[in-house]
Amino acid sequence: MTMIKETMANEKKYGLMSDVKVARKITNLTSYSVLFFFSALILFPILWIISTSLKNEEDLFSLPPQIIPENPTLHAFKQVWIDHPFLAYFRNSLIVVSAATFISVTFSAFAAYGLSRFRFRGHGTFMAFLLASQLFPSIMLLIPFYKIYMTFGLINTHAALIITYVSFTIPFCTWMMRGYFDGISKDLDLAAQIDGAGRFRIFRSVILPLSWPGLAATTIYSFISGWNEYIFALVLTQDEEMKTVPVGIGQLVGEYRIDWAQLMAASLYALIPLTIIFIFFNRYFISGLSAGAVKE
Amino acid sequence: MVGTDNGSGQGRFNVIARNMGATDLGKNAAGKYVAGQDSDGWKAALKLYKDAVDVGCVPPGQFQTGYPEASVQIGKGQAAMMITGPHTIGVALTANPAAKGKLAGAPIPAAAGVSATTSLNQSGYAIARRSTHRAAAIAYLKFLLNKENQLRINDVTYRIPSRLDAQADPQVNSEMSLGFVKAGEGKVFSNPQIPWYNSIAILSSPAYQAAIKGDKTIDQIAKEQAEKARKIIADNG
Amino acid sequence: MKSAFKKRESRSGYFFTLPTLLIVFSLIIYPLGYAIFISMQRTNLISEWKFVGARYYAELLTDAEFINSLKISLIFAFFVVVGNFVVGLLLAVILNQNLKFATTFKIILMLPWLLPEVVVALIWKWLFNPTYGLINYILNTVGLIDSDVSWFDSSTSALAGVIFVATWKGYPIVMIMMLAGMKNIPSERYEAAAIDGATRIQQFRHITLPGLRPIFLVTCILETAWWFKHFTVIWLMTSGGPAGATKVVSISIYQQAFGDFNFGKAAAESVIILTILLAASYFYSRAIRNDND
Repeated sequence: MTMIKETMANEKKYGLMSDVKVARKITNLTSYSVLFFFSALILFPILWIISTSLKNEEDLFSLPPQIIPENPTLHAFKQVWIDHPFLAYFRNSLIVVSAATFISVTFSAFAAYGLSRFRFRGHGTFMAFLLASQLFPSIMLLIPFYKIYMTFGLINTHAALIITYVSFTIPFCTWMMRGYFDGISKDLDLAAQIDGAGRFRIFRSVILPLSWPGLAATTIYSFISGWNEYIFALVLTQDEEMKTVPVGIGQLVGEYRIDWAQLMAASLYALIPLTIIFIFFNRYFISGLSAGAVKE
Repeated sequence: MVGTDNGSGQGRFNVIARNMGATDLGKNAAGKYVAGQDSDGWKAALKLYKDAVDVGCVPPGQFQTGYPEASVQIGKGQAAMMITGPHTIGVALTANPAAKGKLAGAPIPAAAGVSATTSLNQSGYAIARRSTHRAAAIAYLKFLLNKENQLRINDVTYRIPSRLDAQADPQVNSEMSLGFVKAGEGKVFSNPQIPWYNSIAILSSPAYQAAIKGDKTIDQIAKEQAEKARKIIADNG
Repeated sequence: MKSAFKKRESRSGYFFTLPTLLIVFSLIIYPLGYAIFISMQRTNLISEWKFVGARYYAELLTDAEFINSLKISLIFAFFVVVGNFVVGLLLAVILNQNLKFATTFKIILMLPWLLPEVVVALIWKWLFNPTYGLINYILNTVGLIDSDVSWFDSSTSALAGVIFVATWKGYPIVMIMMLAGMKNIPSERYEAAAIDGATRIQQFRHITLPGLRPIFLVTCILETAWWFKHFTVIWLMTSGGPAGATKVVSISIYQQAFGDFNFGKAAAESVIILTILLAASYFYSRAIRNDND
């Protein structure tokens, strides 16, 4: 009864607007409220990061706290490059993380396709094994990894970090891509096979082009995990010229003093490549949408 | 109050416990290691921590107050006292230059019948025999160690110089750091130089945190930690 | 005929999976074997090596503190994973509607994932600081509180605090994975459902959720494993305190290894955790296998 009354009232209120449209408006409003709420929750600490990066030493802990710095300065943004070899840190991070991401995404797409399309002996074991490799507490991996790389003379090289990051991200990327490939109809493979295409060609020219959203997600995942990894980079590199960005940022946290302004400035600099990667790959999420139409 | 569960908090508690007459890892007459966690002095130190928080003379959030936080509190006038060394003056003044001249050090008082004691933190340098830039390293150390530069470092960091002639300089004996110099001239203790001492040292931080929280009685806490310490001694002795 | 087909199937399967298999295998087997080896030694890894057999395992399984830190890890992981999924899925569903400004919101909502854990932990610790943190200042100004609240002093609030920060940091990955999964659900299904008059909630239950199932399960397992053995955020915010209230297993291992230099016992703890997580993932993967057939 009440529902009918409400509907009638709504119809009166919105004139020609249909019930569905009203409902849609309300859902949109709710959606935006949720988005605003969470965005505020995210932006609050981030604005504090930005505000801190613009403060001078004396204003850092001023009471009451200054949300907008009274004496804003770009000093930290400049000084962080002078006081520390961040240029080298950025170069190392870019080399290591790009290489690791490329290897990880390529290999995992291969493996995921194999797991998604073929049944073979050890299929289940392999899946379980990939998973198991993620279950061991990473602190206890530090020492054996160090020993392995020591044996092969890889300490203090990009290669050690690349291999490490690949081993960390490949299981998740494989599982993730496998879930993605499973969602693509096998009829497509079959059709291409009837046309006489080999397995590799099917993978490359039929399945991969449909998988951009999945590949974009795994690329973002791999890149970000590597970009922010701290403890292994700390242990496996020693020379200043070989350290990565998170290690450099970590060094700003001293035993006696935290260099807050520079710490925040460096973190903001470190966000730039990630944001670019994200904006770039975000387009593939959208293009994946149109690809979705041909899937079934 | 540095009440964090880390070495910084443990070291400060240890100094207080020592001045209450407790030694976390002492030696008996027969030269065997003994645990001091259930001694009266250790319990008194735990009680002091608890009481300090209970009566409200500790800034809130003592469990998250590590060294960097506590020195900001000193600099900003939110805390009046801290168990620490002279370097804190330097750190506090960075956060608040206006505090210059308003900070001073004093030796930690000891319980009745206990002679006051403190620890000295000495930082040292070493040059490897096969160092490729040995001459440069030596020159750098000499640079750090000449009297004038020692005083310059002291002027900024308030750390007490390692050179005796620099220590005697009036600058070092200013009112701000005199208390630290005095304490250092008195009785000084050092922790046992054994590889497993750290296993004993880390027993104190969960203990003072538990004492402050008050879920367990101080006797209970002291007993538990002493049992752990005895097990460690037995394992290593 | 059929067996020839099967053989070719197998060969293709191996061809595609081999590179990954080799990488993961070579970097997992040795560390694992090494950990099992040192878990039976009393060792500081330098001068002392003494075989102790299963002593550490026996000690740990009867050690109330260790059992307690397993319990804390479980609570921590449970709430963080549930939190990540609730927030991540909710936001993914909304972002997937292609509202105006969806991309802007998506980038903002991704930001926590882009920040290093160290920075996230330190900034929140500062914001929550009772004497000079922004949160108390704001609450004081608005009049919600009249004295400084020390947020992390009780066992419950400290654990809740680290769970909050971990969720703040952790939900974007779930959001992104769910979003990618949703792009894989054909839009015709929604159109057909809409024509049949299904509400948004019905569409979510009967189309979105089943469509997300494969990615959902994978993300769920790995999220559980990651957060169960999480270290950085908790270590930087509470170091396991107050009085052990947030001492998860990773912190216990870290303190055992790098505080006590008792590497054997630390390794034994790791092996026990591995066993627990293996058992848990066995049940998960059975669910996945059912899903495949």
